[in-house]
Amino acid sequence: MNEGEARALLFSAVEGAHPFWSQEIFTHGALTIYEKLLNGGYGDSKCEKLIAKLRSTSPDEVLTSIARADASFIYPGDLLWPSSLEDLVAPPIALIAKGNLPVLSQRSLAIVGTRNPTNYGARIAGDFAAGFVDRAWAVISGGAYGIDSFAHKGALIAEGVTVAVIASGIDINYPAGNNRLFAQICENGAIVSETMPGHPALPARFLTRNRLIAAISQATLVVEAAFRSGSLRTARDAAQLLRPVMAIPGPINSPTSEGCHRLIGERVAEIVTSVADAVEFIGANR
Amino acid sequence: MSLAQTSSVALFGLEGHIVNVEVDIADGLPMYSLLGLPDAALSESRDRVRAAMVNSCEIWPNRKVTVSLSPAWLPKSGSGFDLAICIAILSAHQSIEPARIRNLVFLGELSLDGRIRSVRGLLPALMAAQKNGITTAVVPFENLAEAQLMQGMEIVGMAHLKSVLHWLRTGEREEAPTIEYQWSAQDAGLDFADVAGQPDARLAAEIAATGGHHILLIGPPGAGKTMIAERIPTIMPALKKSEALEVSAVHSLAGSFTSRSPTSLLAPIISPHHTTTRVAMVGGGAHAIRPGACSLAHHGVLFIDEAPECPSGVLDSLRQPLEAGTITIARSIGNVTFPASFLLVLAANPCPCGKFSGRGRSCTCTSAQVRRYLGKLSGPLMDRIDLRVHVDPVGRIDMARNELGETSATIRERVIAARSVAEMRFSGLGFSRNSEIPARGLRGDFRPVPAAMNFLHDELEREHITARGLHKIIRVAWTLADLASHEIPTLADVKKAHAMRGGVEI
Repeated sequence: MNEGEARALLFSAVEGAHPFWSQEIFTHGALTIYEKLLNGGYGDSKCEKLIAKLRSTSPDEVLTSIARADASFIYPGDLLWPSSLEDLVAPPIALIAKGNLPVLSQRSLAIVGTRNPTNYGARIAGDFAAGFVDRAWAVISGGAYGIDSFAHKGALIAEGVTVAVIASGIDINYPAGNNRLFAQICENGAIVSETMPGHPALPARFLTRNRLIAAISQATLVVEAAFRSGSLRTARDAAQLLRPVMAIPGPINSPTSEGCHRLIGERVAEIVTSVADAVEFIGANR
Repeated sequence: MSLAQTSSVALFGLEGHIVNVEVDIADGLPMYSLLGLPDAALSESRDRVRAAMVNSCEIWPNRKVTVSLSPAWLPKSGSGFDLAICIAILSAHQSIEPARIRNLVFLGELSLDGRIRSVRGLLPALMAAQKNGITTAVVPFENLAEAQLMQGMEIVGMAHLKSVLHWLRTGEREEAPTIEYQWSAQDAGLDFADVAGQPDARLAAEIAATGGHHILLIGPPGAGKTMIAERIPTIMPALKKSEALEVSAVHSLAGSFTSRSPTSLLAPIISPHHTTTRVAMVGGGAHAIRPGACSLAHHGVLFIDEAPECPSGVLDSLRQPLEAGTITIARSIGNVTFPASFLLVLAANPCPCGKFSGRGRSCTCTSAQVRRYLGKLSGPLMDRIDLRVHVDPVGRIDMARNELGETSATIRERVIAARSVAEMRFSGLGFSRNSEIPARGLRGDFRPVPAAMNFLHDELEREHITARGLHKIIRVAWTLADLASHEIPTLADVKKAHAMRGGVEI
């Protein structure tokens, strides 16, 4: 058993963003934790289920299933590992990724927002994605309908690089309507997941996924978000990491701008109204 | 001689066929047979005719009565043949001069006491009769108003079998009060002045009425979507008489003159409930094929409130009429084509609970629900909607304002002026409204200014619009140009049209 194999085992057994294990593994390395676990170092009764899970599978099985999904398994210490993830309180144990993996470490902007954008939001998302791509940034988003899709498409139309961080297993295209988009993203960019292939996109996984979007990128832009929106989570995660967070204002009577206004009002996000503004703000706050 | 013949009309859709009603009375056991593919209602005519005859003090021939409705292959339905059958029997029985009735058309249902009841589809039936060279028709008195729309035909309105017989035998007519019919554009008292605020939706309604562009209104409950939609007919120009006749013919067939006067020149508005079935929307039926809501809205407005609640097949069934302006219904008994050239007005809430507007904080829908809700409208149907307008709740200022908004009459004047500009431009080309400009024309004679075309091509390149969207935008831009008296659409017109289509295609 080497570090990579231990990582693979723990990755498949521990749900992403586990507050204790992810920190523990991040600090001491996977192999140490794995051995300590099996030797009862954390108390047998407390970790019974986890140990059973670890025993029930082998590193080979995990790695084969990843390879079968045509993806790669990357973890801290890899050349391809985006080190910006290490700022997280609960850094991922490892990631599954496919596509052009070096882009994960490229300078990037996260563009997030509602699944039900207005035309205004759809257009802004595309324009900002294209604008940043023109300045050699990658565009990171979640591959969902709405703002996410428009951001990805904007980057693709401008012939740039874009990365989708998804909440399901890497072999599941969720939402299925974005099948073609996912294929296009993979051509030059990458798709990243923190769960094993075949795992569905559970509601909780969207929230843990959001923290990855916030951490993997250098700055976050919220284009349109309703009062209760997952994108607000991404923005707050990014703010916690002290990364620049920006929000696009909208009409005050537009429900899909309410979340952005909330972020601006709470001073979580800076108001930006043009790509140039955004670039300048990020430059000043890095 | 115990043979007589007269005429009536069988309707198949809006198309009428002259039916010869022949009666032969022969010696033999008393019996009655009705030939010529009658349906249930028509087969029952024997009992109605007999009772009506006896109750009008006539003698039923107690011999072998054979009634033939020819052409025999044409399926016939309904109760409108009662009067013709009754008259023919009496004539064969030699109580009416056969020559007297040979060139007449009789339409009407008999009640048991001899009164003549109204029938559906009288107007199209009379049109068919006139086309076949018949000049005199006997119709139910109740239908007289509708029947008198026929120019150049002598219409005899009769309320009772006795008066028909009296007229046929003596030539004397009890002075039937003729109804003075007058075309009128009298509306139901709706006026755009009642609508507070809503400048965007008002403008969209004006554009829709001018160019015939279909429209979708999205807004929370109570914002005034229905109010606006109901008032669109009031800003449409009055129907031409030929158009009004077409509209009345369809309404006659559907029997819907309770809500609409046959002599109305006002564009009709039909608002079927969102639970309406496909057959009710486009027309149909097993025996007699009846026009549906989309045909009743011919030359007018078809307004569907809460459109996303419609079963999807119902809205999609409108695609053919939207494209062709007619609807063809195929059944085992044959194909029927009804006119269905209407302005489609859809209204929708922004989400299932209706509260996803303003700050949207009280909305309880999930984003997937919101997405799915309006998603039900997307696809080929949405492609045909040129104007997508958000109707915001009425603001404080608009409610408090005392002076009324623009009246329908003012708006209608602009609509009429803009339409006549368009009609002049398109004269001789086979279409008259901007929404009908063919795609080839949009790239040829009816191009907007070059700057506007560049703008659209940029949008196309950035995949913000589709090629079809580009065409639709230019059509709306022409209407905007007509309303603003621009000779050809300017960049501003095109940008405005682009914005009113809702910008990005999703």
